[in-house]
Amino acid sequence: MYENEFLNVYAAKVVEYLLAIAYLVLFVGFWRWVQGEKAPGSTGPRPARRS
Amino acid sequence: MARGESWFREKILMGMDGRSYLRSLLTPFNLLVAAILAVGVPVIVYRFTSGLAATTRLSQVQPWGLWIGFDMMTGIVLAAGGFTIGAAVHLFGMHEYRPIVRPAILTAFLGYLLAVFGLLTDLGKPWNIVMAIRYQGSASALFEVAWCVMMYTTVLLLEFLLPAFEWLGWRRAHETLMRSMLGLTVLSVVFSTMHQSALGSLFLIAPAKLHPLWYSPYIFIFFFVSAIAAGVSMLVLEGTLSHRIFRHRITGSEPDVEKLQLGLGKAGAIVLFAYFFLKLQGVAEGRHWDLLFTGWGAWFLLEIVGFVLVPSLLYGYGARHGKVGFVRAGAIVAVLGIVLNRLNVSIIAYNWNRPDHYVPSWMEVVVSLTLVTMGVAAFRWIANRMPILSEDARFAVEPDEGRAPEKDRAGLLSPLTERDREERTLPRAAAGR
Amino acid sequence: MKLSRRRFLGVAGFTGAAALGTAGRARAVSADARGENECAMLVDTTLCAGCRGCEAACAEVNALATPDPDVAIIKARRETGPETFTVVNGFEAAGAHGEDRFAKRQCMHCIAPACASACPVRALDKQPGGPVVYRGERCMGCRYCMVACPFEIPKYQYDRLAPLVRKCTFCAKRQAEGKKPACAEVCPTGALAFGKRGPLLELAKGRVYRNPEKYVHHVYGEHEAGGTDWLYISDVPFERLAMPSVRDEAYPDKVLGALGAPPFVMTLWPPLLMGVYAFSRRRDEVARAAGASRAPANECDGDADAGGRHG
Repeated sequence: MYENEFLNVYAAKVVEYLLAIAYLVLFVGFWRWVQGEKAPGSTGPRPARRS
Repeated sequence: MARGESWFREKILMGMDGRSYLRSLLTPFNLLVAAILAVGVPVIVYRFTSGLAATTRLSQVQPWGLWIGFDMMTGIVLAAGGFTIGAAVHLFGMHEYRPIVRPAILTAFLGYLLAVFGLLTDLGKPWNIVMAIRYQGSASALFEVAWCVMMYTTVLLLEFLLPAFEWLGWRRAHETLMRSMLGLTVLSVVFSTMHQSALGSLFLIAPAKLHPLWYSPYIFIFFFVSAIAAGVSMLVLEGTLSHRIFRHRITGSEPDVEKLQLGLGKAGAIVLFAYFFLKLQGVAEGRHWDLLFTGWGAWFLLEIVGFVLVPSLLYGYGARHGKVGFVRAGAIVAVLGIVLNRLNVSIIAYNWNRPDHYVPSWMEVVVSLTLVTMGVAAFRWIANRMPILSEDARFAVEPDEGRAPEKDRAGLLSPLTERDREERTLPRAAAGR
Repeated sequence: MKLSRRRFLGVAGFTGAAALGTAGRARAVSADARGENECAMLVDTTLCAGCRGCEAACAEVNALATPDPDVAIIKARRETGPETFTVVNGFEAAGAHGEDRFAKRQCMHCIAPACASACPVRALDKQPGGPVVYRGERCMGCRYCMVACPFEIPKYQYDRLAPLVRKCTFCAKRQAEGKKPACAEVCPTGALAFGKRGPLLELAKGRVYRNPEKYVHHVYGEHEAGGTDWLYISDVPFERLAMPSVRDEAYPDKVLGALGAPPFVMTLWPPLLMGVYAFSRRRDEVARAAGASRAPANECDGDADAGGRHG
């Protein structure tokens, strides 16, 4: 039974976009984690400036 | 009630009493706006009461006309200055361009609202536009355009709220928003890239209907690159106009607009030069060199030589020799070229091989003109009241001391104002100010 | 259980062949195989007498205005319209022996329809059974389907205040009830043959091969626009019957490449842009630390105290 290949595109697009959105959400946290930011604190190699 | 009245007088009437305000409205510019609206608004109403057949010259073979080609497509590309300068300043760190970011964001925001109103006027059943959220036709380039325009208009609204909150004096909201600016700027570039290119992708589905010199599998790249060129050029034009017209709204030192324009000219020269060769690549890829010798070929060459290569050279010469006049001339030609390109793709070179050609009706032209006029009037209204040409000094925060610079309370300069002020979002800034 | 070498090779060979077979099937390149089980219609123009009974039946079933009774109108080269889902155009003495020829035009119900792929709300949608149907309730009237269709079929009710897109429905409702489309039901000459696309294509090719001097060696709709559910065979070149020449590629595929870009942009731009940001901020910090002119910092720049609270 041959499926209509054209109709498959919609399911594929859902996966692509959900994946991209999930990535964007994860990216924010990942970026901060790699930069070594814990809280409003250090950003990179500079020592945290607190008064 | 007195308090509300005085807020209204200060914020809306710019400090005048009712009668003086009304008298102040009698300017030649305002009369022109009023005249255009007097004709245009009834036409818009008529479009909605009588339908598309009565007001447009769209047909079964020409489903898209001026409102799509100009209001939507040209409107969106000319609003590209927002994301380009936002990225330049906030991501690439070119802080000297800070003074033109806010006017650019406002122009972009109003430009997108214009494009959306233009679209709503063109849609057969505009109330069904919400269906795009409910049902996802994700195989469609128009679906991508719709979503990314929705997302980006939201981003623009948020970016516009920054000066709006300063105007309203809402500090807490302002600080919260400030913290999101980096993320908003990144999103603005992401969404803009997607929909500026998707507007070109719209035509991928109709290869036989668009003339081969304009149709290319890479049309979406052409649209994106030309969007950057359009953004840069509109920034130059804006710098010339708004910094002159709204000079009275600039607090603190006046930015060296000419110097900034020379810098923009340099960028414009490079982008347009690359775009010119990209278009030639499109011809090469399609192996359409022979078509350059036809009538349509001449029109195509006019577009890319006269309105892409020439402004590139004007920009380059102006930037190299410090002659701002050339840069400004280049901007005008470049903007006309972008408009020409969008109109070519959507209505002129579209259906090029049909015997009769679409010409917009006078009502279509009037509606488009009216929407642009409303946008310009809105820009004026906002720029005259909100901190667009300058940022509100009371919202600036001293990084080391954590309090607003004292001098700015009286509207005088603090030493920081002369070099771009650093704005911080220290929680301490809110306390006691 | 000891697996003999012979049996192992047999099993491996069978699995391998099955795997290759499935892989091949998933990418079904053969145009013949695509849409095999979709409902389709074969139009044999050599059999059409130009009676326009199909127009009348279509108008009745779809509650449209009765077609113009003037017989001469058949020479008029009509297009379909918002209230005319199908037209039969006549071509005087176009036949191989000087006979008149007639060609019925309507939506081709493509296997991979350009209009359905273009619709941002799937108001036009392909049913797996074959018909490309329209749901007017969700249509916003963007008319992109009209831009997309290479056959110029979707027509718009510009004169209405709540306009709809109009075209042949392939009588999807009748098909759901197991009936033939109205046009095929009334056709007196058998010019319209309704069935599954696979067998109809065989039928069409059979007629052509058995009468090679008579028929043009082409089944219109076999490959046009990537394959359509309405197929035509004719004894005169199709351009002479005013049938548009359409490319053999599936139209939705033309957009797939560009449409693949957004997820990539959403993924690639943030690290690129944040990288640029980090670079420019570091450059500012270095300049500041060097104590040269006090370098202005970024509006978005988080200081040590407020840093990390971006976006």
